[in-house]
Amino acid sequence: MVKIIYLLAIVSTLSNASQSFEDTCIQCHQDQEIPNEVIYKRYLLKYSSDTNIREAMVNYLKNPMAERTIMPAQFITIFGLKEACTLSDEKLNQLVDEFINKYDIKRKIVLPQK
Amino acid sequence: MLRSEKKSLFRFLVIYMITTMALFTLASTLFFTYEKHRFLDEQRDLLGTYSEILTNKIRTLHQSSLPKLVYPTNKNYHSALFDINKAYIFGDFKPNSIDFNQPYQIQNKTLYHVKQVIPYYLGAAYIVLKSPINRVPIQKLFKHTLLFLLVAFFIFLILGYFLGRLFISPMRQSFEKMNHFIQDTTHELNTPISTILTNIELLDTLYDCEGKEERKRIEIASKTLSRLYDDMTYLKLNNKHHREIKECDISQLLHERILYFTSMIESKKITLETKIVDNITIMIDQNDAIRLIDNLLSNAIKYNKQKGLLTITLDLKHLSIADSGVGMNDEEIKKIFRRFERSNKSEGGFGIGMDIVNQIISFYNFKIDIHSKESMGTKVSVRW
Repeated sequence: MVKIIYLLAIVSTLSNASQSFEDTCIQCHQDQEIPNEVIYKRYLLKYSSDTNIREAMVNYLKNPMAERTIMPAQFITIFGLKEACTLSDEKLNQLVDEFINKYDIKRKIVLPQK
Repeated sequence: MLRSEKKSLFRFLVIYMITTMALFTLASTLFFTYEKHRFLDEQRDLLGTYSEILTNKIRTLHQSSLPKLVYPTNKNYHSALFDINKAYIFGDFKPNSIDFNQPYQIQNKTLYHVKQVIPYYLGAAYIVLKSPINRVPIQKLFKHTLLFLLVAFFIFLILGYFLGRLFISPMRQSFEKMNHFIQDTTHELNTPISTILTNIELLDTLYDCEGKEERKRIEIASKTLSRLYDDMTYLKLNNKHHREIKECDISQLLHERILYFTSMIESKKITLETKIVDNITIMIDQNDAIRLIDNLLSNAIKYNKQKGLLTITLDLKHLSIADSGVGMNDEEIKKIFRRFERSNKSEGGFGIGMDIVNQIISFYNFKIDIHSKESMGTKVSVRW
């Protein structure tokens, strides 16, 4: 019985988090037709590792500046600079992790079939 | 070819071959090392080219928006991608330990190449390529180098042999001249010595004239000359004369030779003690047996004291001749068998007697023991 309660609690938490990521980040990006995969690839091209990407993304989200953005100047001209994120560090890190996991290019690489 | 000539030629060849081959081996080793590095450099260059091609393919993959990105593989090498923190991203192999600061490294006969990539396509900051070292050309080169050394060895051996012969030819010519001179001299000596000895015998037999003492001295001197002639003839033939090896009554021969030396023994007033067992026979050429006995007896008389003692023993297994003469120390005994070596120069001779004894002993596989003490005497035993 206790196990079932724990399981329900975990599922509920995950579902809330997922919804939160979709609501907080993706929904807005989709509305503005911002290419998430391109953003991720640009971060990857510059920062290489997940740790470095996470750090750069969190820094930008907390304090968005034209000098810190990974996107080209033209992109900022079209979409403008994002407002500074007011979420807690913990929440922000969680959302960035979800973003990285969602677009992780490593998951797409496969060895050729023999 | 003479023994000394062979020895000189052999020594020359050994020194010549060692120095020549040492130089050739050094040169070959340097050449082999240089070529080996050249082959490895070629393989490094090839791996470098592969890494450039792979970087381009990864860039294309990075730009692709396909749901699946097929990693580029090649049968000539394996590759792996690492991020800026040197964490493994993807690849068709996963290296155990790689030094990312070394662009090229060799581990377990495998060549590794670490290429830094900027910007980080697919997040890859390093591309590691590995390829087994192609050892075929190196092994081929090693075989060719060895073959070259082997061929050079034989060429220089043949060259050295002819050079050596060229160098020792003046020595050979001198030796031959000396040999011819000795041969001619000994030949010329033989007839007068035989004449003197025969006529002394005739005088002793047919005439009872005065001057017996003087005749005895002439006889001793002539016999000494006669033995010298026999020894020189023996050496001249270089121990290669035709031998007629048959059962030889050594007891009888020993008695005859003692009789031959009687006049010398008497002239030195030496007391003779003999313990000769009769009818002892051994398989030996008669001339060899005479040379062996004569040289041992002659030495025992020559180096004995006036009024000394000469003991001759013969039994089934051995012949021993002991004198009470000047004797020798250990150093002199060691050098006794060397030709032209004389431990005591107080008496005449050329130092060839014991060389002849040694040649005969070696030919028949006899054993010789020499016990000597200075001022006490010498005992020589020959065992068969």
